[in-house]
Amino acid sequence: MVTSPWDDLLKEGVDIITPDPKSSGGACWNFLAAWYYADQQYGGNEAQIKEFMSALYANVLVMDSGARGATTTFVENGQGDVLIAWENEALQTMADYPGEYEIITPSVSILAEPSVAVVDENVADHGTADVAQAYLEYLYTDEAQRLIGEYYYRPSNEEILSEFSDVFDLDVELCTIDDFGGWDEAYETFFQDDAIFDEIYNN
Amino acid sequence: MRKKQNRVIPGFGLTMGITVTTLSLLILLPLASVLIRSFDQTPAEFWQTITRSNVIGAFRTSILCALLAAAINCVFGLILAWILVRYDFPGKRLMDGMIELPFALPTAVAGITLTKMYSDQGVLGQALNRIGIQGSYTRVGLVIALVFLGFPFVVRSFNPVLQKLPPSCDDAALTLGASKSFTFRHVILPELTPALLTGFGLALARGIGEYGSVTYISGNSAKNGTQVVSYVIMQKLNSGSADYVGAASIALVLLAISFLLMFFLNLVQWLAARRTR
Amino acid sequence: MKPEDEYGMKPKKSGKTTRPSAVQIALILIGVLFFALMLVWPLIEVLYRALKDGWELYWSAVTAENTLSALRVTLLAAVIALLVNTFFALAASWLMTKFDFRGKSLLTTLIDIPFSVSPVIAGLAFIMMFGRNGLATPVVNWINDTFGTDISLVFSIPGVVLATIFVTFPYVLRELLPAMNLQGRAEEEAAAMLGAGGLTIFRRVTLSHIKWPLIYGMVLCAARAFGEFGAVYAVSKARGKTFTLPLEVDALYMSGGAEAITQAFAVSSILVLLALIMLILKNIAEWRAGKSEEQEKA
Repeated sequence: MVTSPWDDLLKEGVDIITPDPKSSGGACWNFLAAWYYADQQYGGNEAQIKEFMSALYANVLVMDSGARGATTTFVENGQGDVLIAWENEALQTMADYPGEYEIITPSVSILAEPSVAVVDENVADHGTADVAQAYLEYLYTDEAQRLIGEYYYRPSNEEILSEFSDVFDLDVELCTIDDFGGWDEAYETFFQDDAIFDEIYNN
Repeated sequence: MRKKQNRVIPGFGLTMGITVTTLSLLILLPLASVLIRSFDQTPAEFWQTITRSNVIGAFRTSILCALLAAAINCVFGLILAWILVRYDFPGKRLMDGMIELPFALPTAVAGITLTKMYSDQGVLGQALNRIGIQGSYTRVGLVIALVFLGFPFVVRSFNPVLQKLPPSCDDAALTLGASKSFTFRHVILPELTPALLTGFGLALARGIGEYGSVTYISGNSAKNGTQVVSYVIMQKLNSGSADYVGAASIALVLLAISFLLMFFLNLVQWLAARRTR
Repeated sequence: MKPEDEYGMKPKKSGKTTRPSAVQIALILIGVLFFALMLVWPLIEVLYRALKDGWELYWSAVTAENTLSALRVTLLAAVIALLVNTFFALAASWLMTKFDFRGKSLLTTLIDIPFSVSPVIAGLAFIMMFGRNGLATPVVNWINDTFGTDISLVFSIPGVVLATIFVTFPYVLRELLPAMNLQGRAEEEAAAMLGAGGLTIFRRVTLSHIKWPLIYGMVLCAARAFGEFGAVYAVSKARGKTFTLPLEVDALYMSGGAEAITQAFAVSSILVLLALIMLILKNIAEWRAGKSEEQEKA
């Protein structure tokens, strides 16, 4: 069995900083990435996956209300040993504090692609349909994609993504929210009151 | 007779109208809608929401920390009020003028500042670390924030009473041969008790519901018992499913606690007023 | 008023033995230490952290567009809250001190509610009332449809104002009531018998007695309004639009960047300055109030 950085998080005495999935979207992504890893590791045996998650969250020291707050707690106030973070925030922190931190890319993670859309009703109200549409289209131009990459977000354009292969670890295996049946279903299964998160956390 | 007197000064109807309308629209109606929203469920569901382990834990944390902070404030608040009323020392005027700073300083500012001061990176946090105490991100941090928030309430309620209580009173007891501690316990303390309870109650009420200053310094971990009630309410509002009914249910319990406290405070004041009459 | 004036005695420090002075010194030391640790240090800490990375960053943080917008919203909300609460306090204090009626103590208790209610509940209450599926939302929608307006009472500036009014509601009244009580009714009754109207009585008779307590209460109200966080946090979500200064501090602090923390403290220093100004005003009002009370007694 190959050990993954995910397993290291379960070791005794490791203090993890990750935000509260019941209040933060970023925290939900963190949770689902870990779940996906455990799912693979234990071949879908739910009891074992839950045990893994329980052990992981038992090591969580500070649970901020939001992902960026967790970064502040870890970086600025020096709490904990490991921060489970957005890739872009981790890279940004590395740039801000050269030599102080180490990024560990897990073998398996989750691809977070928040949606961007023009809401017809709102742009009609504000008379901004053209600008909004233009902005939306601009996001997918080569220029914008490169800009996105420079700010440590993964460009969705494969070609441009490969230009940043020295920044991003392109070998990491990524699941998506679709593997969990979409947000509505994932939220119901994992994060609602008395759903799986409460179960594993309160155990 | 009274009724007639009432009508001598004009404006009864007008001021009554303004008072009741403003109060109802701005305070009572919004609070009533919290109550009504928490009826959007069966009593069993309500009970389930408020008895979840994280909710009960949050109430325990909020009440315990606020109690402890209010108790600490009573001790230091009494000392501060005492030296401000009875003694002279350099810097007294400045101290007197600044004592209500926590009242004027935004809780968010107090929160981030105290978090910095008592974290591993802050001077005071490091000092505490050396004696084995973690400041920020623990219950210790929570209590520190609530002490900061609450002590003007206590000083303020002691001040007028101490000013009315003449030094001659304890002098008299002393010349009659009473010991210092006897004088304090039997002459001064009884006079102070209503003020003590009022200050304690106000600081407690403020502490139990506080959000701004504690949200940064608390580790916010249900496991370590640092999650407070107001955070749980906010968490329900911010959560992916925006659980308004759940938030309203927990708010209702918190409201009930606040009302009980207020009832208690009014009772204390009423009893005190009757005693002096 | 100092006790020695009232009882014609010197304060205790002229004590006969040396024993009390040891206790005295210990108490003063404890008090001063607590004061320095809990009050002075945090103030210095804010300023130190704000200026740690130099004036340039400080100035750019203080004059950033989001900061200025937040300052505007903060001042706007505080001024409106002040107007509403003062108007209310004048009416309510008149009602409570010039008349006897049943249910007075119930009314007092109800008005004091915001003192003991969690600010988060205040924010929540307005969401329950005006938010999606809120109790009063149909009314607001009807007004918008009928008059072609676009009023929105939560997650907007009016929401911020409402939340601010809620948490500061009883402050002015609380300071006004004792002063109005002290003054009694005789003068107003006399004026009324002579045929003066209500407003004239208030302006010519009452106002001069309660001027300084009124200002004192208004200062407290404004100070509290500047600093409110929890209630506003619940109903304000748009940075640069509906954020107040405390929310801007939160946003900067929570953004995790290295410079952002310093910027958060820089914006905090504006709030510290506001708080200090309010404290000075408060002390002036307190001093003047005490003075006019003495004059009245003399």
